[in-house]
Amino acid sequence: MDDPTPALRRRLQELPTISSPRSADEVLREARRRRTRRLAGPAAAIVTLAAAVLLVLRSEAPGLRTRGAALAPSVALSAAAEGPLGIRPLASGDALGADEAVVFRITTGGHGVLTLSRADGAPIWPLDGRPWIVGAGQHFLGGEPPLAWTPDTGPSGTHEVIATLCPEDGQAPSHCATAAFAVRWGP
Amino acid sequence: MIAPTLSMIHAPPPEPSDEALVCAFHQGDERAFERLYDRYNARITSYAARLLQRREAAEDVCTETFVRIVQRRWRPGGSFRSFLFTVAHRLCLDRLRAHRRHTRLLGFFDRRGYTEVTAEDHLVFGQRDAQLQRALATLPEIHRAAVLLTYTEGLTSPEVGRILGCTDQQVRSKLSYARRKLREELEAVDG
Repeated sequence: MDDPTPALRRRLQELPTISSPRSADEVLREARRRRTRRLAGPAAAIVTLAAAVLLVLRSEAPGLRTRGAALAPSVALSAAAEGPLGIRPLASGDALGADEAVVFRITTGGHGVLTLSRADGAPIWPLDGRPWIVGAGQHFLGGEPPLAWTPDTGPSGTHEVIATLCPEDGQAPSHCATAAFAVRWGP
Repeated sequence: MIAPTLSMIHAPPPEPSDEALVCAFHQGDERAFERLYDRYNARITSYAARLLQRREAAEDVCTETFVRIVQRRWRPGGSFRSFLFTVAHRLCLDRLRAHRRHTRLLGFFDRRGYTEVTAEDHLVFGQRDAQLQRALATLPEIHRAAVLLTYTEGLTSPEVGRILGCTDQQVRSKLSYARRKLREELEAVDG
């Protein structure tokens, strides 16, 4: 039988190539922008979390809610429990099984900086201080590392999680939108 | 003694090696980075596009790969080309994993059909050689990567093994399987 390798090699090498439209200069700028962000990240995270805490303190009953100024992009938070038998839906306040991990779905109505935090303002995501910039759409967090929220994560009881979406241009916290979801575990 | 000929006198200086360019860049020569980028932009983007079947994601992988160079992730002593393809390959695997998971979760939350690869994605490289593109897409990712790195990029089996995290023997075995599978796919199309 003929060795097909030379013909295959030739056909593969003749395939048209594509290039990234970004220039070397743009890549260099991107790398430098990230370095600056890494330095500025912790300060930005503190401001965002403070905004989240303020908005949560002003809210009423725990559970699913969405609020924010008229111009704020919308944000919604839902969740599912992922376990060895598959995924099942969770309603706010539902309990997580012992062998399950929670997966959050955050639906954003526009572009912005997204954070997930606990009711006391402690960050859940991101943890490295770098802003999580998103567009409109659905974003998933959890279920597997690096964010595996399971009943082993903290003490038993109800844990409220807040998603905050703020405009990227650093406007006042009143322009941020938030949504909350409660997950329960333990007896 | 041989008298120098005109062509010898006017021979262009040899192209600096990748390793020399990256060292020059780390010493502050941004023009060296530009030359490296020009040398590898199309190769890395094309490799990622064929592996991911998505052009935009491939462009992001190319940018991310070179950002790692700016961040001085490469250390002198190894082959720069191998390092570059290793980084790009790992970034592709991360994206493939994330894409699969995202697809699964979207399907769960929305309870609606989700087309993993769009018609537009299939036309990443245009209509030309569509058969070969489709045949490549049927290969498992690691086999596709072995074929692209060996036959398109001209890397040796040990280099490919280091990038994919397997032995030379396993690379050769994957290539053998991939060739057989590609031939079957192409013959099926040709009738």
